[in-house]
Amino acid sequence: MPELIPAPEPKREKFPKSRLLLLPAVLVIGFFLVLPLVIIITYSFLVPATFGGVVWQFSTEAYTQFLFERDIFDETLAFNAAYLQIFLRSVMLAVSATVVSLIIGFPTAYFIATRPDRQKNLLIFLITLPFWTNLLIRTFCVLLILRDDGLVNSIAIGLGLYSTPVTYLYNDFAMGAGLVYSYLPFMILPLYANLERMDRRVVEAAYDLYATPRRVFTEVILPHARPGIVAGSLLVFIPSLGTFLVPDMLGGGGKLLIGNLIQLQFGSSRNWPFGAALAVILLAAILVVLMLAARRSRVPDTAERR
Amino acid sequence: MTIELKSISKIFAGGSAHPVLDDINLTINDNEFFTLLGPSGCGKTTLLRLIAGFEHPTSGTIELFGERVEGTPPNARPVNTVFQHYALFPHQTVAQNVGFGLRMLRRPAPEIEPEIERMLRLVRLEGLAHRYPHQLSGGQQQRVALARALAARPRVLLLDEPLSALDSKLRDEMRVELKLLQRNTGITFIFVTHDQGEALSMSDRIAVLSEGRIQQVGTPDDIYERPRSRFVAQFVGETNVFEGKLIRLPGKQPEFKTSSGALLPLGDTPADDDNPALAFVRPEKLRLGNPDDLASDPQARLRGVVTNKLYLGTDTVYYVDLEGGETLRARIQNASAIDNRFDVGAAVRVRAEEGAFRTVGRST
Repeated sequence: MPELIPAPEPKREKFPKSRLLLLPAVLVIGFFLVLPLVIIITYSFLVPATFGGVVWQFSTEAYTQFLFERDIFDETLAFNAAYLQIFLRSVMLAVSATVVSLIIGFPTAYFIATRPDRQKNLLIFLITLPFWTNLLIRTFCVLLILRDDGLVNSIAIGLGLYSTPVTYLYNDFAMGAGLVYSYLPFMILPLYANLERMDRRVVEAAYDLYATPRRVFTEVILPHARPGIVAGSLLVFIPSLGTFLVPDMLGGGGKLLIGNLIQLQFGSSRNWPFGAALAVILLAAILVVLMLAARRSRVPDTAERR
Repeated sequence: MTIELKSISKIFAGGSAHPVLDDINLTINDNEFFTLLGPSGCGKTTLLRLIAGFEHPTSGTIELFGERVEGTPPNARPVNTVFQHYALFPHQTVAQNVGFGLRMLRRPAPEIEPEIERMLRLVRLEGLAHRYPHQLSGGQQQRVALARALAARPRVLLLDEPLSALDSKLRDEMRVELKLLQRNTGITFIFVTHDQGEALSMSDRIAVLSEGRIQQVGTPDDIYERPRSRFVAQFVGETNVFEGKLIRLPGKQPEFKTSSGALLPLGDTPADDDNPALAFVRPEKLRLGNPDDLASDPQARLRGVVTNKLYLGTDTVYYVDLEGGETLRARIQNASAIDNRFDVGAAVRVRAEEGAFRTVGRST
């Protein structure tokens, strides 16, 4: 029997040098994403120092504070929905802003996507134009438009629709309008990218097969646009939920949103752990929404691949 | 009759002033396989889209089964379309695609299910009902598109170059299937193509279009054997074309004198057409022979030299330079070994059956 020659062991390095190529990416993610997150989570479990900053002592007080009020005298906990209300109000406002953006953004995106190429590029350029200006200035412009002697009132009074100025500012409407104005491009761009790729003949085919315009929309256009709707909605919802500029300027600062609340903790309230805890709660809420959205948009996708 | 188009013109807004369709008059009959044939840009697809309702004529009228339909949207016309690139609904299964039209017509589900099965059997896709379009081959997608368009029982089926995206073998199979399908369903098919082979092999009648105008309407045989314009003679099939003029001597068959001086024997020529634009002969109507053997044959007066030769298996195409200078193509079927015998450089006489050379008038 011939002697079997063992195959030479393939050289296997414990740590292949090629992995070093990952280093830049790992460093960037580590420094700019993971580290800040770790700091926020850590701070949320510490005790606030009197003049800002933290005392290195473990405590869950910051999270307790979100739902309960501690009596100054006997230290008993009583349920307090004030912060929860702020949180829910923020969510409601962000949802409204997202829905309104979708209602305005979808026809806009569809209109642009069905123009000839040259017009498309110009229109998309116009959509992105506001980004060239600072968000603060844009929000201030909304204020100028909506205030008592602003553009809307002047035009309406000029047209004789009413005689005394209507107060548009410093309420939920003004905040919603500000959010929609600020983040509408984030809705339009992904929707446009999606609808632009849609085969127009598929629409014609549906129309040809006895679909009414409404059913063409629900049966053909909407299923196609779904990934764009999900992406656009997330891009509007997430920054809307965290906004502090809009309620400050357009809400008049009277009604707090979660973003203001966080900003306050790191500013005048000097309660860093509570601010950090609020940020963590907000992050968790957004993660839940993202996971739901991911599952939503995955359903038709996996079905296609089956 | 099924469809009546009267003086249809179409000019696209913003386009050139040149009309896409110019004064089209056409009648398409019940249960007919009618083909619109023409090169790209001739307006044939626009004409189809006018019938489907995707475009509206600038002027003229469209009648479907005796009713004017210019203002009727596509979803209210008893006409369905098979699109060039199928345009299947990507988010729907094969079965959902096929059932789409019936769903839109709000037929009850128990009625739709068997209809889908029947259609899938018809196009032989029974096993693929739950696949998605992107999981199918081009040929299968084509069949789904066909089943989808037929499921709602249209009275007219429009087919926009449905075979152009298929490979040649599949295309040949589909020609036979489409023709059978048309005959078995009894639906009027209006078929758009730039491929004269498809048009000739499937159609009951063909309309040849060029630059927005109808050049000729007729049976495949009419179009091929008796073209009425230079365009039709050259676009449909291979052709040898001669410039020149008609010579009509009393008591003799008319002849065509080419610009180089060769005399071509003509068959029956319309008496009123004394100033034809050109004469032509189809390459397969020519025979080649030894100059000596055919010296006395009155049908073999053209002499020349073989300058090139393409062996195609079934046939051989000979390029013959005539004495006057014109080059002629002759397609000789290789029925026996001796047919493929002339080499490049050989002197030959060209023989044509009586009536093989024909003239085409100047007017269309």
